Amino acid sequence: MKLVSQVTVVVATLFALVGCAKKEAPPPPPAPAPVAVAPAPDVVNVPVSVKQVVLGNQIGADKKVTAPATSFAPADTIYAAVDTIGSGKAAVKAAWTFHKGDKTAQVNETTQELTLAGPTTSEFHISKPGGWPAGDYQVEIFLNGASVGSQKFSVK
Amino acid sequence: MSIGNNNPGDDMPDFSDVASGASSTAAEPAVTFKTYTIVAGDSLSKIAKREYGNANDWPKIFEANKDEIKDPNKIFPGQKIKIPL
Repeated sequence: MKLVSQVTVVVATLFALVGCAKKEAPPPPPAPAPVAVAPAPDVVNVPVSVKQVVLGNQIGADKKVTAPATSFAPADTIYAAVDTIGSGKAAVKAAWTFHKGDKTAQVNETTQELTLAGPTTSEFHISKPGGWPAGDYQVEIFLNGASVGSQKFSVK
Repeated sequence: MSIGNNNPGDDMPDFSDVASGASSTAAEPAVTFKTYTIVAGDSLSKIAKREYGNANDWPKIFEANKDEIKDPNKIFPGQKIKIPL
Protein backbone atom coordinates (compact mmCIF):
# COMPACT_ATOMS: atom_id res chain seq x y z
CA MET A 1 0.00 0.00 0.00
CA LYS A 2 2.86 2.28 0.80
CA LEU A 3 4.34 1.51 -2.60
CA VAL A 4 1.10 2.49 -4.29
CA SER A 5 1.13 5.80 -2.49
CA GLN A 6 4.68 6.51 -3.49
CA VAL A 7 3.98 5.69 -7.14
CA THR A 8 0.98 7.98 -7.03
CA VAL A 9 3.06 10.79 -5.64
CA VAL A 10 5.75 10.28 -8.29
CA VAL A 11 3.23 10.22 -11.10
CA ALA A 12 1.55 13.31 -9.73
CA THR A 13 4.89 15.07 -9.46
CA LEU A 14 5.79 14.10 -13.01
CA PHE A 15 2.48 15.45 -14.28
CA ALA A 16 3.09 18.63 -12.38
CA LEU A 17 6.59 18.97 -13.81
CA VAL A 18 5.44 18.26 -17.32
CA GLY A 19 2.65 20.73 -16.83
CA CYS A 20 5.09 23.40 -15.67
CA ALA A 21 7.53 22.67 -18.47
CA LYS A 22 4.88 22.97 -21.16
CA LYS A 23 5.18 26.27 -22.85
CA GLU A 24 2.08 28.28 -23.13
CA ALA A 25 0.81 28.92 -26.61
CA PRO A 26 1.56 32.48 -27.71
CA PRO A 27 -1.36 34.76 -27.31
CA PRO A 28 -3.25 35.43 -30.49
CA PRO A 29 -2.18 38.58 -32.23
CA PRO A 30 -4.29 41.52 -31.39
CA ALA A 31 -7.09 42.14 -33.73
CA PRO A 32 -6.04 44.73 -36.28
CA ALA A 33 -7.32 48.14 -35.55
CA PRO A 34 -10.15 49.05 -37.84
CA VAL A 35 -8.90 51.07 -40.79
CA ALA A 36 -10.94 54.01 -41.81
CA VAL A 37 -11.81 53.55 -45.49
CA ALA A 38 -12.88 56.60 -47.39
CA PRO A 39 -16.11 55.93 -49.21
CA ALA A 40 -15.70 55.58 -52.97
CA PRO A 41 -16.58 58.83 -54.63
CA ASP A 42 -19.94 58.74 -56.25
CA VAL A 43 -19.68 58.58 -60.00
CA VAL A 44 -21.94 61.38 -61.04
CA ASN A 45 -22.80 61.87 -64.65
CA VAL A 46 -23.21 65.58 -64.88
CA PRO A 47 -25.27 66.37 -67.97
CA VAL A 48 -23.46 68.29 -70.66
CA SER A 49 -24.01 72.03 -70.60
CA VAL A 50 -22.42 74.98 -72.33
CA LYS A 51 -20.40 77.18 -70.05
CA GLN A 52 -19.41 79.94 -72.46
CA VAL A 53 -18.92 80.87 -76.10
CA VAL A 54 -16.00 83.07 -77.10
CA LEU A 55 -15.36 84.55 -80.53
CA GLY A 56 -11.99 85.49 -81.99
CA ASN A 57 -9.81 85.22 -85.06
CA GLN A 58 -7.24 82.86 -83.61
CA ILE A 59 -7.19 79.85 -81.29
CA GLY A 60 -4.46 78.08 -79.36
CA ALA A 61 -3.61 74.39 -79.12
CA ASP A 62 -6.19 74.13 -76.34
CA LYS A 63 -8.86 75.24 -78.86
CA LYS A 64 -9.52 78.39 -76.83
CA VAL A 65 -9.65 81.80 -78.46
CA THR A 66 -6.41 83.66 -77.79
CA ALA A 67 -7.82 87.17 -78.22
CA PRO A 68 -11.59 87.50 -77.84
CA ALA A 69 -13.23 89.82 -80.35
CA THR A 70 -16.64 90.76 -81.68
CA SER A 71 -15.43 92.78 -84.66
CA PHE A 72 -13.56 91.22 -87.54
CA ALA A 73 -11.83 92.10 -90.78
CA PRO A 74 -13.14 90.72 -94.09
CA ALA A 75 -10.16 88.38 -94.47
CA ASP A 76 -10.42 86.90 -90.97
CA THR A 77 -11.14 83.31 -90.14
CA ILE A 78 -13.75 83.59 -87.41
CA TYR A 79 -13.64 81.13 -84.55
CA ALA A 80 -16.25 80.31 -81.94
CA ALA A 81 -14.83 78.38 -79.00
CA VAL A 82 -17.50 76.60 -76.99
CA ASP A 83 -16.64 75.50 -73.47
CA THR A 84 -18.75 72.67 -72.12
CA ILE A 85 -18.88 70.83 -68.82
CA GLY A 86 -20.37 67.48 -68.01
CA SER A 87 -20.08 64.10 -69.61
CA GLY A 88 -21.95 62.02 -72.11
CA LYS A 89 -22.82 62.20 -75.76
CA ALA A 90 -23.65 65.62 -77.14
CA ALA A 91 -24.27 67.22 -80.49
CA VAL A 92 -22.93 70.78 -80.50
CA LYS A 93 -23.93 72.91 -83.47
CA ALA A 94 -22.82 76.37 -84.53
CA ALA A 95 -25.27 78.15 -86.82
CA TRP A 96 -23.75 81.25 -88.43
CA THR A 97 -26.05 83.86 -89.93
CA PHE A 98 -25.83 87.26 -91.60
CA HIS A 99 -28.35 89.97 -90.73
CA LYS A 100 -29.38 92.90 -92.83
CA GLY A 101 -32.42 94.83 -91.68
CA ASP A 102 -35.07 92.25 -91.05
CA LYS A 103 -33.50 89.76 -93.44
CA THR A 104 -31.36 86.86 -92.40
CA ALA A 105 -29.09 84.72 -94.56
CA GLN A 106 -27.70 81.44 -93.44
CA VAL A 107 -23.91 81.45 -93.63
CA ASN A 108 -23.01 78.01 -92.33
CA GLU A 109 -24.12 75.28 -89.96
CA THR A 110 -21.58 72.85 -88.57
CA THR A 111 -22.21 70.14 -86.00
CA GLN A 112 -19.84 68.12 -83.85
CA GLU A 113 -21.13 64.90 -82.34
CA LEU A 114 -19.02 64.41 -79.25
CA THR A 115 -18.51 61.93 -76.45
CA LEU A 116 -17.54 64.11 -73.52
CA ALA A 117 -15.88 63.13 -70.27
CA GLY A 118 -15.50 66.41 -68.47
CA PRO A 119 -14.68 69.99 -69.36
CA THR A 120 -14.10 70.32 -73.09
CA THR A 121 -13.51 73.11 -75.56
CA SER A 122 -14.87 72.69 -79.06
CA GLU A 123 -14.08 75.18 -81.79
CA PHE A 124 -15.99 76.03 -84.93
CA HIS A 125 -14.54 78.23 -87.63
CA ILE A 126 -15.60 79.79 -90.88
CA SER A 127 -13.72 81.65 -93.58
CA LYS A 128 -14.65 83.15 -96.92
CA PRO A 129 -12.09 83.22 -99.72
CA GLY A 130 -13.63 86.30 -101.26
CA GLY A 131 -13.76 88.09 -97.92
CA TRP A 132 -16.67 88.64 -95.54
CA PRO A 133 -19.22 91.23 -96.58
CA ALA A 134 -19.33 94.03 -94.04
CA GLY A 135 -22.30 93.86 -91.75
CA ASP A 136 -23.84 92.18 -88.76
CA TYR A 137 -23.54 88.49 -88.04
CA GLN A 138 -24.51 86.08 -85.34
CA VAL A 139 -23.49 82.62 -84.25
CA GLU A 140 -26.03 80.59 -82.33
CA ILE A 141 -24.93 77.51 -80.43
CA PHE A 142 -27.19 74.50 -80.11
CA LEU A 143 -26.75 71.62 -77.71
CA ASN A 144 -28.62 68.49 -78.73
CA GLY A 145 -30.90 70.60 -80.88
CA ALA A 146 -31.73 73.24 -78.27
CA SER A 147 -30.38 76.76 -78.51
CA VAL A 148 -28.10 77.52 -75.57
CA GLY A 149 -26.93 80.98 -76.51
CA SER A 150 -25.82 83.28 -79.27
CA GLN A 151 -23.16 85.90 -79.91
CA LYS A 152 -23.42 88.83 -82.27
CA PHE A 153 -20.42 90.13 -84.15
CA SER A 154 -19.68 92.41 -87.03
CA VAL A 155 -17.35 92.61 -89.98
CA LYS A 156 -15.96 96.04 -90.81
CA MET B 1 -17.15 74.10 -98.59
CA SER B 2 -20.24 75.98 -99.49
CA ILE B 3 -23.77 76.30 -98.50
CA GLY B 4 -26.51 77.09 -100.92
CA ASN B 5 -29.17 78.51 -98.74
CA ASN B 6 -29.42 81.97 -100.24
CA ASN B 7 -32.25 82.99 -102.45
CA PRO B 8 -31.05 84.24 -105.81
CA GLY B 9 -32.31 87.64 -106.69
CA ASP B 10 -32.44 89.03 -103.17
CA ASP B 11 -29.99 91.67 -102.02
CA MET B 12 -28.27 89.44 -99.52
CA PRO B 13 -24.62 88.49 -99.99
CA ASP B 14 -23.68 85.12 -101.40
CA PHE B 15 -22.17 82.80 -98.82
CA SER B 16 -21.86 79.82 -101.11
CA ASP B 17 -18.06 79.84 -100.93
CA VAL B 18 -17.83 79.81 -97.13
CA ALA B 19 -15.42 77.23 -95.78
CA SER B 20 -15.94 75.74 -92.35
CA GLY B 21 -14.35 73.38 -89.92
CA ALA B 22 -14.45 72.26 -86.33
CA SER B 23 -12.42 70.38 -83.75
CA SER B 24 -12.51 69.60 -80.07
CA THR B 25 -10.41 68.70 -77.05
CA ALA B 26 -12.69 65.73 -76.38
CA ALA B 27 -10.72 62.53 -75.90
CA GLU B 28 -12.74 60.65 -78.46
CA PRO B 29 -12.68 61.97 -82.00
CA ALA B 30 -15.74 63.93 -82.92
CA VAL B 31 -18.02 63.20 -85.82
CA THR B 32 -18.16 66.54 -87.58
CA PHE B 33 -20.47 67.51 -90.36
CA LYS B 34 -21.94 70.51 -92.04
CA THR B 35 -25.62 70.90 -92.72
CA TYR B 36 -26.46 71.57 -96.35
CA THR B 37 -29.82 72.30 -97.91
CA ILE B 38 -30.27 70.82 -101.36
CA VAL B 39 -31.02 73.33 -104.11
CA ALA B 40 -32.38 72.78 -107.61
CA GLY B 41 -29.76 71.28 -109.91
CA ASP B 42 -27.83 69.53 -107.14
CA SER B 43 -26.68 65.93 -107.30
CA LEU B 44 -24.62 64.05 -104.76
CA SER B 45 -21.68 63.90 -107.16
CA LYS B 46 -21.95 67.63 -107.82
CA ILE B 47 -22.00 68.33 -104.10
CA ALA B 48 -19.06 65.98 -103.57
CA LYS B 49 -17.10 67.76 -106.30
CA ARG B 50 -17.78 71.11 -104.67
CA GLU B 51 -17.13 69.94 -101.11
CA TYR B 52 -14.27 67.50 -101.57
CA GLY B 53 -12.94 68.35 -105.01
CA ASN B 54 -13.82 64.89 -106.29
CA ALA B 55 -17.24 63.88 -107.63
CA ASN B 56 -16.41 60.22 -106.95
CA ASP B 57 -16.60 60.92 -103.22
CA TRP B 58 -20.41 61.10 -103.39
CA PRO B 59 -20.83 57.76 -101.51
CA LYS B 60 -19.31 59.44 -98.45
CA ILE B 61 -22.24 61.85 -98.42
CA PHE B 62 -24.74 59.12 -99.24
CA GLU B 63 -23.51 56.93 -96.36
CA ALA B 64 -23.86 59.81 -93.90
CA ASN B 65 -27.46 60.40 -94.96
CA LYS B 66 -28.96 56.96 -95.38
CA ASP B 67 -31.73 57.91 -92.98
CA GLU B 68 -32.64 60.84 -95.24
CA ILE B 69 -31.68 59.64 -98.73
CA LYS B 70 -32.90 56.22 -99.83
CA ASP B 71 -31.88 56.53 -103.48
CA PRO B 72 -28.74 58.53 -104.28
CA ASN B 73 -30.29 59.60 -107.56
CA LYS B 74 -33.31 61.11 -105.83
CA ILE B 75 -32.62 64.19 -103.81
CA PHE B 76 -34.95 67.15 -103.60
CA PRO B 77 -34.60 70.89 -103.16
CA GLY B 78 -35.12 71.77 -99.53
CA GLN B 79 -33.77 68.48 -98.20
CA LYS B 80 -31.27 69.02 -95.41
CA ILE B 81 -28.34 66.65 -95.51
CA LYS B 82 -25.14 66.12 -93.55
CA ILE B 83 -21.84 66.69 -95.28
CA PRO B 84 -19.06 64.97 -93.30
CA LEU B 85 -16.08 67.26 -92.76
